[in-house]
Amino acid sequence: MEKQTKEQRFRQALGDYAAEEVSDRRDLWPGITRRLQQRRHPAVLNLTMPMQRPRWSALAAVTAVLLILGLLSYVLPATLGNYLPHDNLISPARTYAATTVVTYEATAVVRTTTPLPDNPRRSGQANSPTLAIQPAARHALPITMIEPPTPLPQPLSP
Amino acid sequence: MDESEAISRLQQGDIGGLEGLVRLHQTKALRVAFLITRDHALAEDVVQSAFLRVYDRIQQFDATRPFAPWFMRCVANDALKSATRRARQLPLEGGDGVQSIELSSPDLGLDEIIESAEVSAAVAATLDRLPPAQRTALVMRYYLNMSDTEMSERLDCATGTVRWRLSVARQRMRQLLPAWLGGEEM
Repeated sequence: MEKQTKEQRFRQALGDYAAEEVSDRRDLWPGITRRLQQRRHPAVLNLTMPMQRPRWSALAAVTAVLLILGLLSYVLPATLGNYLPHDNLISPARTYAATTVVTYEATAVVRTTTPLPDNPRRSGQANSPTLAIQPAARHALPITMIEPPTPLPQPLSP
Repeated sequence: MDESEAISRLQQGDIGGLEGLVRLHQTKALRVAFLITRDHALAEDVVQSAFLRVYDRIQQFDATRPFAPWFMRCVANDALKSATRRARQLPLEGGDGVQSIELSSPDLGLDEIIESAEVSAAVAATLDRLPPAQRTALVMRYYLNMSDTEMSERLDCATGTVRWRLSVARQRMRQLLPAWLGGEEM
């Protein structure tokens, strides 16, 4: 009897303690329905996550910048083209032609001004301008028409 | 709405049946879960999950059998799992160095002591110092009035294991509540 009494006592104490700690007014139904809704509609979970919405002002600004750049790329070359003389434009072909002319002229000048000590007969022709190219004609002549300097005559053997 | 009607409605897909079951059994289920887990939030989570499992598997439930004992055993088992998981993360303090709880009024009668708040505090301290498995055995036996066989089936362990857990839990309680239980067998 005493053994049962102590067991009943403990049962009673355990029940009283549980009743003190957990009120019978606790309602779990709202939490359960919330979890049910989350399971039915997983997209609801996304509402708790930070969602980045498109910013229309930023999109409009980017569009405006692109339009301005496109307009400039169309208008600017035409505007600058009126002020830049075409003759002054440097092209690779013109650069090559000018360089070639200068090279031929320098070679010709050096070769024609070199004295020939052992040939007094030809020494009088050292300064002959036969190979010099006139400056006025250089512009008119294409590179293919400039002839290379003629080879110097070999000195006469004694 | 009684239990059988709630189960019948839930089996027909009526969510109101689940609400009826929740209203009928939530308080006791919460108390069972709290006694085992010793944590209000964890107990609520355990009981809510148990009701959601009922919602998922109500078609498999035999309506001729009583719902409450089966559901309480589920809640106790889930609470044990949650408490064990939490105990691994937060080791129980005290361990073997258990200190006896001195009741401040040993001259009072037992009935007066039981009714006093100190008994509740002593019971709480006792439960706190027991491992989850022994705590569950005590709750199943003395709060849910389950037999050794029922406990072994629910906890998926041998009957001898259940008896051993109960024996160890009683020994610990005699150490923790000497003035109340007086060392006699429960």
